[in-house]
Amino acid sequence: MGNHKMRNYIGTILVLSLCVFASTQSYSQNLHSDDIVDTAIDLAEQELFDEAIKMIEPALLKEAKDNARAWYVAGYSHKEKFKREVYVGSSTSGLALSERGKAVAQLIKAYEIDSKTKTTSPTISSLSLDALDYLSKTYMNDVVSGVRGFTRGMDEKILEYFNEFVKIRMTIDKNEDWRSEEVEIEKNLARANRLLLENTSTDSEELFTRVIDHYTRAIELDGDDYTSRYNLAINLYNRGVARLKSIDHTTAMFELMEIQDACVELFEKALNPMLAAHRMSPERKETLKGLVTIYKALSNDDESDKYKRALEAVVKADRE
Amino acid sequence: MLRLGIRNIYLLLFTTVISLSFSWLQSDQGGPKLDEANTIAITKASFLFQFARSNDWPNDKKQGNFRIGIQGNTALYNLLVEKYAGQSIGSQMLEVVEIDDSVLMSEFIHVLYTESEGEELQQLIKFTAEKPIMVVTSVDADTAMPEGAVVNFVVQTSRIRYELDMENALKRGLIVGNRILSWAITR
Repeated sequence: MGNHKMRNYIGTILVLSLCVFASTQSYSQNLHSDDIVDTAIDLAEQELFDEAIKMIEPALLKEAKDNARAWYVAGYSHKEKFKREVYVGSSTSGLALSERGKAVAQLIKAYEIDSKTKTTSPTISSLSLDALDYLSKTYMNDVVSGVRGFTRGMDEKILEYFNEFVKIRMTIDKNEDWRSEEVEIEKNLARANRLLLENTSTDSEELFTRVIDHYTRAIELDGDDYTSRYNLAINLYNRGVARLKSIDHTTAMFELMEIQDACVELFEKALNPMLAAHRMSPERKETLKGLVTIYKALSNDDESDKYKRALEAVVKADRE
Repeated sequence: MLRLGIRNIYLLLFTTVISLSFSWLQSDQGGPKLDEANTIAITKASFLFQFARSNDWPNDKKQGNFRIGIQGNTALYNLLVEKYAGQSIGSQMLEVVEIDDSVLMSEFIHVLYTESEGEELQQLIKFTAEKPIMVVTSVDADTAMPEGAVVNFVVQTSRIRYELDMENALKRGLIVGNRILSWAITR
């Protein structure tokens, strides 16, 4: 019995000792982590961002992994490095992209830790959100610049910037909805690829596929978007016409048959989106004209005449 | 306080730039324009050129220009001129002629495309019977191939195809090429 009591007593002492030891360790770790953060802040304030990062980042993997201030100072330093890089070069240089990516990840982490624990300074959340807000706009700026100065194959990069933009905006406010902007970007990318296709000396099925894919995605995002459907139909139809126009004196009989088959397929594909656009806006002249033309190309004179009459009626009503 | 003010101005400026960017993205500049080319005429023109190139005419028709006559379809005539006029058909140069009175002109024609129907078509076929002229018609899908024509364009599953009357071709002294023969359809 005495032995049993003694064993319980020793056990309690051992557990208590372990608890004291653990809390001391944790305290000393926090103390250590806060020291590192304060030093890193000092360095960042002196605009010694590389040094601040060197100081803070190893700690983010260990003792400062749950410290919102630490993540913030690291993210802030990367953001400032990104700004410097933009000032001397471009926001889409390899280094700038890397700095911005790190800044975003670390600032989101800072915000998440701070909003969960609420133990550190309440300003960390708002500071992180301010910095993220700034970075989100730089991404959108890159999207717009990318579309404006579009070159072949930039689609993925532009959409990547936009996805980063949305990711940040969702952190800032979950209720924001950027779908209509995404639809516009898809439409602009379709247009940019079409212009390249029209200006290229050699035909490119890849560019045409991109045009179609971007409009299709825009329709998926917004089923009520008239322009995407109309433009998709026109692009499909025009592609068929372009293929027909490519026939010349060197075309063999079997090629003529193949081209005709391919064109009819494109005309048929153009019909559905044009009909859908027409249903959305039955009085719209361009759509009626589109249907007159597509049905004519499909040798369906009855349907073509039907829409021709509808078009004439709209034109007449406009005059009156 | 000053720093805060500058920061707010900076943010306002940045927001304005982004708003302008959005509005630029949202203005659907330079949408695609419908290509209004006459696709039926392009296809028919391509076939007529193939008929000229892949068939054979009697020797006395192998002098001077090789003529494709078009009656009743100016768009088709224009396309043929634009794309094929001046090309070689054997040793002859291709000439495209738009004709008002196919009966009077038919003597000089190798391939005669007509959109005439009824009495006018009958008269034309009668006048050109057994002459080395490839008379090409284009009648409604539910109308039978006109008697006396050599080739007739028909629409099949939205595609332009043609039917061929070999007997008429032979009567006219025309040798139909294998390529033309193999793609002809029957109804």
